[in-house]
Amino acid sequence: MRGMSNENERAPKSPAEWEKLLDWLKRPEARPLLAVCGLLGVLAAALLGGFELGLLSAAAGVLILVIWLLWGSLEKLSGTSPLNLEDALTLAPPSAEEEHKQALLRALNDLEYERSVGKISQQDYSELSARYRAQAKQLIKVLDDERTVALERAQQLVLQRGESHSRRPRAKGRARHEGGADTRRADTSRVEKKSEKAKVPTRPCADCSARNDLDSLFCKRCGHKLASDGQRLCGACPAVYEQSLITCPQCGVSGEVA
Amino acid sequence: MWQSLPEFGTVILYAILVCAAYTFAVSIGAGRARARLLPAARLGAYATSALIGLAVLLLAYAFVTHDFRIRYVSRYSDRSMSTGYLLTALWGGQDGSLLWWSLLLSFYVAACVRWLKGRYQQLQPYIIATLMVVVGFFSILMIFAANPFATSIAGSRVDGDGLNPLLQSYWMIIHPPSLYTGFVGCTIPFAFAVAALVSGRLDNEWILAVRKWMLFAFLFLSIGNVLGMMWAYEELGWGGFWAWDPVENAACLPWFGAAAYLHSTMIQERRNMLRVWNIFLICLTFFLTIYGTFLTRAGLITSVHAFAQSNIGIFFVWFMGFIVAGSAGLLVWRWPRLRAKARIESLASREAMFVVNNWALLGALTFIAVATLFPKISEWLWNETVTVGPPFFNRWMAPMGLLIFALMGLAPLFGWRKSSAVSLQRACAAPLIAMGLVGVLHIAFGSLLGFPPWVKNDAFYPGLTGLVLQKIGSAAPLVTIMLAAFNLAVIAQEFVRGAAARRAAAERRGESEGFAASLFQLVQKNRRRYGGYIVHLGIISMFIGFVGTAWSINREVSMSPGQSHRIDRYVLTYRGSRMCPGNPACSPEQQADINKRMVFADLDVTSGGQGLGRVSPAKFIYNRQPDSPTTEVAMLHSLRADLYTVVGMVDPSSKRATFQFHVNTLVCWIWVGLLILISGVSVSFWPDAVPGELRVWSFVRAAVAATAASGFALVIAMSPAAAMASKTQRAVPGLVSDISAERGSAGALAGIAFGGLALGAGFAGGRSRARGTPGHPDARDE
Repeated sequence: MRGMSNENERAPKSPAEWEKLLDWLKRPEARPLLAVCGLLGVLAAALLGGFELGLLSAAAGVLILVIWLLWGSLEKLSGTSPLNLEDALTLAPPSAEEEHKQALLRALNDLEYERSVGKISQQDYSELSARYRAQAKQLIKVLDDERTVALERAQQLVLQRGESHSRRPRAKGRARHEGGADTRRADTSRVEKKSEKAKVPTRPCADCSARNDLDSLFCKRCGHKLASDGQRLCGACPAVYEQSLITCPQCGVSGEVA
Repeated sequence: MWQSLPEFGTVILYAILVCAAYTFAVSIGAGRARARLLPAARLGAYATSALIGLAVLLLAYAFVTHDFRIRYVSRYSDRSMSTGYLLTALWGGQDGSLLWWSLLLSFYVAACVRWLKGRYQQLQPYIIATLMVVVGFFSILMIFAANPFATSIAGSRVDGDGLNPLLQSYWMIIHPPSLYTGFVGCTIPFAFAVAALVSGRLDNEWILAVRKWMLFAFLFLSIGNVLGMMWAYEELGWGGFWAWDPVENAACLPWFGAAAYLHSTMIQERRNMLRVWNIFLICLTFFLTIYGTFLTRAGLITSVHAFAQSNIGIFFVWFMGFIVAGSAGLLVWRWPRLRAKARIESLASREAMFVVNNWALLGALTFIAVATLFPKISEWLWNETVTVGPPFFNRWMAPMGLLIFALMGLAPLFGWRKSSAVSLQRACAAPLIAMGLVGVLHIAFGSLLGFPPWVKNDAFYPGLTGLVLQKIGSAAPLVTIMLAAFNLAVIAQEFVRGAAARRAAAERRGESEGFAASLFQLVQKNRRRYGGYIVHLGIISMFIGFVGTAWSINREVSMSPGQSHRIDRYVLTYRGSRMCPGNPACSPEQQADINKRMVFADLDVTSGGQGLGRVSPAKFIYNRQPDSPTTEVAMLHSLRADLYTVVGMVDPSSKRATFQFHVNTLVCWIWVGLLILISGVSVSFWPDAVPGELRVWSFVRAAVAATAASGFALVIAMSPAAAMASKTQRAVPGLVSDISAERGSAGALAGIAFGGLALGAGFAGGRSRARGTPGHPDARDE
């Protein structure tokens, strides 16, 4: 019996298994392993057959790589290769507004430094800082609005997809139906988790009332500083308390937002 | 066509061209609103890079297996060459160096395409397309004009010609690849600039991305140029390190362009100004790299680099024309959108200083470019070849260099937009005091210490211009030392003020931070700024090395065995000559060398009555080229001065020999400056923390980056020492302690410069070998 089971284990892989293996090899996680295997092969060839054989094996490996890359390129070109998530994500570049916002935040950072080492007068600092902050506020508002629209659109798409799933005929089989039910259950639990996440305490901005994470120092919408001078932000609850106090009077925790 | 290696190699060259053309077409398709094609273009770019790697591996295989059917292999290698030099021959001649250039470009292409994933979606297709045009140009060049796989018409030979003896040097392994890495690196910023112009995405973010690529190219341009200086200093045997040779000049031109860009890009980032200027500088720098290659290859002007000349110049002329026409056309097309709305508000601002600095750098660049081409220009204009030599360059470059040096110190004192008179006064006070103090000390004690503030200088021209240049040349040592003090004080002040500001902020928060911790945090939080200051520190060190030439002493003497000659603080006693192999005093390696005959002239060196060691300058007569003996320099190094000895001619019967002795003052500080520059660029390169990254991983990543940078710097630090080690024969017994003490100071200095004991030890170790410490193979030979 044991001999038979060994024979079964050594049985050649089915085409489906080979396809599975090839699919796995195409995944990004497999690349380092393939590279290491290639390098070890070249090293072994060089050790066994000399430097010349090592060079030749490296050339052979590179030739295989070229063929593989060109094949992949032609597949993408002809559209036979599906667009994977990684590639799809790269199709959405950061917007010009996002990049502009980053540049402004960088400029504000520089400005702080210039003032701290006395290279810029207080008047110039105030003027420039106010200008950059106003521009950053505008951009953050634009980006938030865009995000809201995109989120709504995404929610609609998810709902549409959910509805189309639920309208699927039962003829497709019970197993599949159960699978669908499982998926819905998973979706529901995810929504529940999201709603739980929504219950996480936030800190409202005194200027525009936007809800900010507890670890934020500035408002994500208007850029307003969440704690004025002489105040501390509690890291565990939305409270803002005097700097002279060691622990938060509301929750008793001593950690502040750094 | 596939049966043999040469034919297969040629097929691969065609495949590179086809693959680059395919990738170009797909990239353009991706750029024209078909973003789905972009993954195909990216894979095509990787495949093109891999094909170039394949071609290089095939050529390396041909060299290692002595496949003399291939013309290039038979011309640049022979059976006696070691595997190391066989691989070096890959870039020893023109055909191979073009393939090597393509290989470096392929590394850049692959790295850039990998880095671009998920970034700059609109620019990406055009970046890949531009890179493929450059790859295509080099593959066309290789296929139609300089095929490294072309076979000899006469068929396979029994043995090859071998590599030029001058190129069989340690420097050949490190200098060309470094310089090429810098040259080729300028292609990536150019590709970004073209992509921005074509796509119309002209905001400031791509400039930020380009900066790092240009900084990398700048680093390798600096390393390549300084290694070239070292090579000239070590191998050519004329006593200097920079001869203003056309090819040397061509190699330093992109450096000026890159340096100007790295400064002016900050203005675009901060003030959204100089956008046209920045794109112009990027295109100019790339153009200058192609121009430099053209000058080396085309043989337009007589140069010491004549070993690489051929008739492929016309291809370069067309390509340069294409670059100029394409870049100018795109710039004019996008001009209305590129014009800045902001203006420089005050001359007392950092941006104004950067603009002046840019003009000074561009002025130096233009001067060198025009003077290099002057023999041709004069031929075209007056039908008479007027050659300009090193004295002309030295006279004119002195004031320009000093102006750039002064601006380098001044710019950091100003703030952006405008600096108030009070803040400027406060910022300038300490550096000006330091400069004045050093100036007074130099005038008072300089002559006593052997560094006189003024040196004698002849008038180069009649009239006022000549007089002005003469005066500037005479005062150059004093002015340089004063400006070095000013620059040092500015940098020190920047660090101190920054650290003080951090400490004050910490105190306001009720925390305490030590000065050292503040300094570390300051650099860590502003790596670009403080990395730049460290680079400036390296430039100061280099300027000190350059000004040392003003105090150098050169002698030419003829001596018989037993005679002595005094130069500066050294006394050299000629002990006689020996021919190796054959003489019992030769080392086993020298006895075993069958490729050449070596004539050594042994000189014992003492200073103040104490022996410093033996130097043995030599002439090597290679069996393959008996009519062109090479000069082998022997040196004694120290931080104060190098004793540089060259033997001219030795009479075999009387053993009388002619020598050239040079005491090259402070030259060591140029090499130290390079090490500091590398460390500064490494600080600037230190990767930023990625949001969301685990803290431990950020430390691991930083540690890996630091180790890589330090390791690289260590290799560079030790390279010259390894090459220099064979020159000095031994230390005189009983004097080891003196030498060790001096060596320790050199090591400590390098250690301070790097901020790491490992690097200091590496540099000290390198120096110890150069001096022939007991235990070193050279010392044992004696």
